[in-house]
Amino acid sequence: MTLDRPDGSEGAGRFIIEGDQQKARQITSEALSSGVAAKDFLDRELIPAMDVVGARFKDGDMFLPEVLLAARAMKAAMSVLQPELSRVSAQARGKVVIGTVEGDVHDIGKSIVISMLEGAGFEVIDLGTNVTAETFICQITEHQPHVLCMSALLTTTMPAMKEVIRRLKENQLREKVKVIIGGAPVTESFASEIDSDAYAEDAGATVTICKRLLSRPE
Amino acid sequence: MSSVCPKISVLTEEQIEQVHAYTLNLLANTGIRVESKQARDIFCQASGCSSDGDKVFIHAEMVKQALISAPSSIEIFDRCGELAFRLDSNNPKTHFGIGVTNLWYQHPDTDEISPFSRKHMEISVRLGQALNNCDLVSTPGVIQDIACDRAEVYGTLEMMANTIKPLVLLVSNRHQFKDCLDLLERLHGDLAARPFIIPYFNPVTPLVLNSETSEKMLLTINQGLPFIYSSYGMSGATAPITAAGTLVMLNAELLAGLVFAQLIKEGTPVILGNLPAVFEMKSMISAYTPQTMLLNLACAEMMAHYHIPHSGTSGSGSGWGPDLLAAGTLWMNHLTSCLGKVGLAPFVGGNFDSLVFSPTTVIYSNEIIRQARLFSQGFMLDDTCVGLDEIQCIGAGGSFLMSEQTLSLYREIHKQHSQIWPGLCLEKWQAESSPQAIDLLRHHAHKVLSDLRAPDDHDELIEKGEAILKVTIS
Repeated sequence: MTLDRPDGSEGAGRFIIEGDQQKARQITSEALSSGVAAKDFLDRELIPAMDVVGARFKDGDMFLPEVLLAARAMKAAMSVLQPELSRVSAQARGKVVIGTVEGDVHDIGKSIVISMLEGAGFEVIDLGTNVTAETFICQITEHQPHVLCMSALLTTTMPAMKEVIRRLKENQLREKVKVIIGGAPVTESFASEIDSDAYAEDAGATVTICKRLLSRPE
Repeated sequence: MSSVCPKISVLTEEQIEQVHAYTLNLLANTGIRVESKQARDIFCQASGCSSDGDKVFIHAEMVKQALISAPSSIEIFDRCGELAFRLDSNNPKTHFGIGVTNLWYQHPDTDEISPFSRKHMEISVRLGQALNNCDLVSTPGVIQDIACDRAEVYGTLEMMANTIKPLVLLVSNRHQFKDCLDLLERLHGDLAARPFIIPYFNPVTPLVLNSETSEKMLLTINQGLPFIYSSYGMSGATAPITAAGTLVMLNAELLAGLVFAQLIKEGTPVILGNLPAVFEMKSMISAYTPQTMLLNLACAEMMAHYHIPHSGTSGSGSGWGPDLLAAGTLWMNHLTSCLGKVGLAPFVGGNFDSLVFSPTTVIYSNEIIRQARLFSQGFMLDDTCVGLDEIQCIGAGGSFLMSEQTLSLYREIHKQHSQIWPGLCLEKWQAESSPQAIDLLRHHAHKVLSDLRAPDDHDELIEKGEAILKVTIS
């Protein structure tokens, strides 16, 4: 993909991919000042750039810190667009609630997932670590996300994911939210066994799956 | 008479002092996060400690006191009460074990992967019992065919019943941990008198003493057992990307754990060490690299300096099975461990970042350990061993095949050759249809696994243990 605009000027996408948050913010501001619609700018420059980042990472052409820098630059650009997007009721790609389940305090994997989801244009509500089933239910009721992501690093905390899904069903919320689970000991078969919608093997896969689960037929 | 003793040394005395100074700085100024109020209270009641919310700042004097009160050597017994080995920080020797907490089992003949079952636990532990160079057994897997809320207790029962060697116990759930200790005590009696159980705990890197760990430490210390306190850091992710930064930060975590243990009970025997992995920035997996092995040795030297017994990494994790990838890491780990000051290398046998237990890898590793130990023994250098008279007697162009020294030593020297692979010259290798080394290893593994035996009291322990669990775990 070309990173610059048809007129040869530098697009924000280039700076997103390069992880230059100052430039990304500056060019986004300039675009808004010159009358470009926020939603158009998001769709034409920012999201395609993060798609490139996701694809390059998946292919082993980018390192994780570079992806996180790109996500930070995307966030900087989004902070410029957000007031305008809110004004015209433009939506993010989707809303995701995420947390590490009860009994588990590991969060580095979850933090990477959050960065990549935000970088890909999702709104993410992070519930933190050691999140009880009760808290998941309350937060899902309040925020009504499209996707719930749960993470566990310990085999002994994996059953907590099952409990959350049980409580979602009990509260008639299961049909309203897609559930993705992940973490070192989690497997595809466990995801299927507890009736989640998908298993994500890593942060990049989480973004891909979120996009897939939220894609609507044309 | 002199002995040639090969050694590896990573840090100078000056560098050890430097690492210690950085560590004290971190503990006093950055501090550690202590999640449990009970644990924070234990820290804060001691003089030389300050806190801010859940942050605890540990000052140099507390560290000094902890280093003075912790034992410099720990005797580890087998289940029958015989001394198995002594972990002596003043004279460190490496003891190896198989492990650890794998979720999958790799079939020794086919490399097929299946969920780690109770039967796999039985096989793995018996394998640890059978291998001469395996000194202990460390929870080889997490049993998947028993419900999660009781799998660790049944795993502990299988470990106890299938070996008499010392056991390193990894139980992540705090409730099951207590159930495991209760079960072991009911089956064995006083666990503290001649300890053969060594629980294993981690803080959460970076710099967090989590509630689960502090609670399990309290339970263990009050029961009078020694334990391993080990940091697992991934350089570049949960630890600084530089070797130096990782060494200092993980060292700070270890000393914080030591201080906590000594505050609970002075003189508590603690074994410290770390698993310094590196975070691979493209695949997002943790990996064991040359930096890992360097830091493993550096940590062991820090512990020797502190006079604290050490437990390090075991080279398991990088392979896809009993393959070239695993072999390289295992060789680097086992040889450097034996040449350095490493105390325990307890987790041999895992593949795919300690997710898959491979008996064949363990059997190959047993052979590597044997050879690494032979290497580290060095050789004697004296008049008798050089044998100038014999060389003079045989002289130029002669043969030593029938010399006095050859005849007295050839059987001993032969033990240095591989016990898995025969020595084949090119012609013979071709004549035998060019056998692959992996196939001969599998054949050897098959034979070892076919000959596995349970200890005499196995059936009795299983029956008694299951009866206890039937009542205690509803």
